[in-house]
Amino acid sequence: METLKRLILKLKPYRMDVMLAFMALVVGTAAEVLIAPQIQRVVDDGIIANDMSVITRSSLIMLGLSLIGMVAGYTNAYYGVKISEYFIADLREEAYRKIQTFSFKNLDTLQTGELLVRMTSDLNAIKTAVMMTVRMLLRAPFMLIGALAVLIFISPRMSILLLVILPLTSGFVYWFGAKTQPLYKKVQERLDVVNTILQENIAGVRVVKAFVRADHENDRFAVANENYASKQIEVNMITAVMFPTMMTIINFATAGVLWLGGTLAVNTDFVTTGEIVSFVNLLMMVIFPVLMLGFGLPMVYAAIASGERIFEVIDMNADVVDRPDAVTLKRDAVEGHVVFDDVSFDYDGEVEKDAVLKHISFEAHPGETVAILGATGSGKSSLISLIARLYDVTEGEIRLDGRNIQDVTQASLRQQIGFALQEAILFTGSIRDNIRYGRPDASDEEVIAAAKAAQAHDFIMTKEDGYDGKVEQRGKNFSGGQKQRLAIARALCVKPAILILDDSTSAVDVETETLIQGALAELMHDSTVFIVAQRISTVLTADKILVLDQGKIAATGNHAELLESSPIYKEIFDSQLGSGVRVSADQEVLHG
Amino acid sequence: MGRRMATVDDVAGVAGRSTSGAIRRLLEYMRPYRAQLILVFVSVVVYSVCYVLGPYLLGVAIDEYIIEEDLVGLAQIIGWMALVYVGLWVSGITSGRVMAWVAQRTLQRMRKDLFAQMQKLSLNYYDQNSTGDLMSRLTNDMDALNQLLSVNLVAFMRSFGTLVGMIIGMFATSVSLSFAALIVLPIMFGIMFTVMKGLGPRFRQLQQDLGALNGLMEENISGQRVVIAYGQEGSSMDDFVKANQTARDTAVRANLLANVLGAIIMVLGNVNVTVVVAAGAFLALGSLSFVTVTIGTITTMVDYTRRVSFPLMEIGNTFNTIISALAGAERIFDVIDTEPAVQDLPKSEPLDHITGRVVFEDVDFSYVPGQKILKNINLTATPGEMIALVGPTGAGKTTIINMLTRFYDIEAGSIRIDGADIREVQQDTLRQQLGIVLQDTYLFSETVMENIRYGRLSATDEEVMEAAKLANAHWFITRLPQGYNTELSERAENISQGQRQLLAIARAILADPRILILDEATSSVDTRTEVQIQEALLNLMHGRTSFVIAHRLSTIRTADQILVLKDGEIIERGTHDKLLETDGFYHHLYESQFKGTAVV
Repeated sequence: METLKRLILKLKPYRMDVMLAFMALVVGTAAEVLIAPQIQRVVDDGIIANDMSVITRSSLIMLGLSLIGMVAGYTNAYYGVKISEYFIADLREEAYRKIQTFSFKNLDTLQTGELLVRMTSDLNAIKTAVMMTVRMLLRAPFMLIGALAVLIFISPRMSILLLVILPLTSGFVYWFGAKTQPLYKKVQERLDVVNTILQENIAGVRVVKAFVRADHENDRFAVANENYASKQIEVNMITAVMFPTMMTIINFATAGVLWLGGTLAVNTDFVTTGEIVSFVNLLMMVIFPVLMLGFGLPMVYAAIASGERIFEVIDMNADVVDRPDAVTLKRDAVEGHVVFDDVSFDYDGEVEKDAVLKHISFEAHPGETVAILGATGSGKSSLISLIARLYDVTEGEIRLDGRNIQDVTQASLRQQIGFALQEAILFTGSIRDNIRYGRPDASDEEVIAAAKAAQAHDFIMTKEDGYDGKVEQRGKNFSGGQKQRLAIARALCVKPAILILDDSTSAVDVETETLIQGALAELMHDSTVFIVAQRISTVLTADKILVLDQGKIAATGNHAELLESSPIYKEIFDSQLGSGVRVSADQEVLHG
Repeated sequence: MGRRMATVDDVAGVAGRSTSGAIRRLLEYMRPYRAQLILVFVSVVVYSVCYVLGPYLLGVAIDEYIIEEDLVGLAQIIGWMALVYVGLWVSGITSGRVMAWVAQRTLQRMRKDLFAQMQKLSLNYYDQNSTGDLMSRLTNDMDALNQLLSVNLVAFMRSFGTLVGMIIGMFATSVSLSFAALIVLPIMFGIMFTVMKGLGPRFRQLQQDLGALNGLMEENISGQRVVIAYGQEGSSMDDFVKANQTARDTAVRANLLANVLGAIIMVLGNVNVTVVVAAGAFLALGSLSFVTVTIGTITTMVDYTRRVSFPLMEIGNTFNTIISALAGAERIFDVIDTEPAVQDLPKSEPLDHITGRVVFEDVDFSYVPGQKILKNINLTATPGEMIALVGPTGAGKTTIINMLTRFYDIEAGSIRIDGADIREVQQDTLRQQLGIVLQDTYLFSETVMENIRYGRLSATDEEVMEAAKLANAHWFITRLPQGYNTELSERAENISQGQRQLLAIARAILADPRILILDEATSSVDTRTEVQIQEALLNLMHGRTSFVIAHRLSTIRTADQILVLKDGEIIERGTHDKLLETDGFYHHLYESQFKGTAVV
């Protein structure tokens, strides 16, 4: 109910349109209902009474009513369409605007796929319901009441029949809904299974082919396919009954009217022939609204459920927010001196035993390269996310040039930072625009310089249009390594005071990675660089290496120091650059 | 008049020639259900007849029995009416139900064929078509087709049947009043066709605009983390607002027209009723002595006239759905009709009991004609040898593997295993000899047990566990919440990248192939898992011919042959020590990759 109220309140800017649509609907319905008594007049007072003037007058009235109905119908349709489309576009924009304020934490809670479903299917469900309501549903009660009134006016006695027909119809519609709704859910579930298998077979096509499992997959699919088809048949068998049965109820009602009316007309003077004729005509109008409600209400319920999901997005509080007195950092005025002062962090905002980061303290000076090493889940990515304030620290503070990063605006903080995320996400558009994404006013020379440093220039030049070459959706026209290099170029193009590379060369071959590192050393010698890496060769030349273990700094120092002091570091080193026990032999070979 | 209605051919005519091909193919799919379809057809005819008889009998009842005050006759004719209504009910349900069954079975067969075809298609097809694109064909297009076959088709047939029936009924009741009714009917047809013609482009435009809007949302929401990291929240807003408004305005225009059509038809229906009543009354009063119109006739005619607008509305409403469903069917048949690029020769032999000797002779290959990815590749691997493929990204390492697995066919030269050209053996038996562990490990959303068993479906639980032990995967599997019965989620997010690789290795161990193909992961694996993977790989490679795209020094050093690839050519080959001696590309590569250690 709460959701329904909120949805209705969102219609406020269109209240004039709603009013007009509503008025048009009432007028249109009235016009339609009023045609029936005119038919009766034509028959009784015109034909039977042999009075041409009544016929002419009634016909003209009917024609007039039809025209009024047409204008009203058009008006209702016009506003109905307009309201529902504008309403939904507004709601979509509001939700989208909200998503723009989200932090990483919000995105962890509401994941991409889920958000997209809400922004498409859920909004569509609401739109359909609004449209239905404005055009049909609101009309149902008026039509019902209007037609009932006229029926009773025409013949109170015959109206007794309605006491049988109406409950019968409503009961059937209700039974039908109760029977099919759960089945629809089941059908959807089974369809999901079918689609999962499809999706898997497309994504895993190499594995299926490599293991020659086509027959196995065909069998697996056949089962899901049969399950789905049989359930769908079950539902369709029921829905196939719906329409003919409703028709039959109306038809038998007609026969009933005929019998009752006929008997009354023959035996008494209570009913005239004209009344029977228009009564039959009105029957449809009484039963139609019941049908509309039967079909329409489930849609409204679905829309309310969708509305809840949309409002969940709109109501979500962005958890990283600028303080009211936040300072704007000036571009180029930042040196890049980063201090972690007893920082603890957990995604649920509570520092307990299993916190992701525990009491992290370290310092990075401008121009230094800090490498962060550690096992999966040791907290590397979390640590660097905190620098850009993608999440807020739970305890302690992070200072940039001596200032708590929570005291500056997020936008100005992030302008100082070039961030290459683990997953290299590109946007559709030109290569050039992708590289200068963080600084749209970068010159072509700057773009090229960034691309060269990221070792992306060469493959960009092999594209037909070079830097104007198109990046397709999700960057699918580039290999994994190329995407990562473009993402690094994008980070470099910001000319950041702080550069953060989160395992962003995992798909780049080692030789190219070495070249990138060489270029970075040159280009970024004034900047503070943070590198998260799995490959030890990536971190060998860092000024400072932080070895993370279960959220704590287990060791820090440069390569030579750590090799001496840290067993964990040595273990990592051995596993990657040596071949187990033969590490010392390797080193000898290299030295020699 | 009825002939002017949109028949299947007209629909095809509007939508283009290829749609008629799709219709033909659909009919072919329904051929096994001929008997049922005839039943559907017959019941639709019965339905239409009953539908038309109802109002006719109503007129008769009024004229001959109520006005004549004949209650016995009235009872009789009501009995007849009841019979007609029951006939209507039965035929309505029969046609709906049988068609529902036929539709679902037809779709089931199409899905089956489509899926089987997907298994047959070569990898080049998957390279050219994105997952999203394929999924959309398999879901949206199938869905539209479902709607068409199980709902629209019967509705369309009924509409058509009742429309024709009612026009006949009208003329049978009163020729003169029919002409009165038909004054408005052509106007309705005219408006309907005009509007429908305008609707097509508008809805296509709407589809485009919605596609653009959804694409924009999908891209930006999935890239939202980048948007945040670069503080670009504002900049994507403008594009969104513009796309949102465009889609909204197009939707208003398209829907308005569609809805106005309904409104106009409904109102014209009322106008038509008026015309019939007026004309009927005029005639009933006997102004023209040569035609007689009774009250019953008027009632029947009014009923017909009122009902004539229903099928028209129905046809108008479903026309677009039908067109787009047929377009979807076309896309589905496109997939089914695509010839797989790699096919077995008619007389191909199975490849069996091999020792694992692999020979590449002058192999050339290109994904895109004219851009050679492999040039003149020659290599010989004796059984049990380990071949390391080394070289920069894009040198052709993965392509060599794609050739050996015959995921693609080579352009020139030959590849032989134990002397048999791989193009002359059955693909299935070729791949059964090959064990493949790829960098991007793909797991299915089934249990861990089933995922490993994928390597050899006949394996017992014990054999699966044995393989998992050899692959160093047993320890972490037993620590999962349900051990071997743990369900892996779609992208296997509940286990790490490294663990996924261990499962893939276990899968390959279970398959027990003579030839192994490994694409070593470059990173994303923590130290301990790394050690375990290396050990597992050693277990796996033991005694088998193996091809390894190598990134690890340890692997490269122990290889029997190292092939250094650059720009699609093998530029150096030999053992690690021998290659280091020559001051070539490998030497340089080795220095640049591992020179860090020299700092120590």
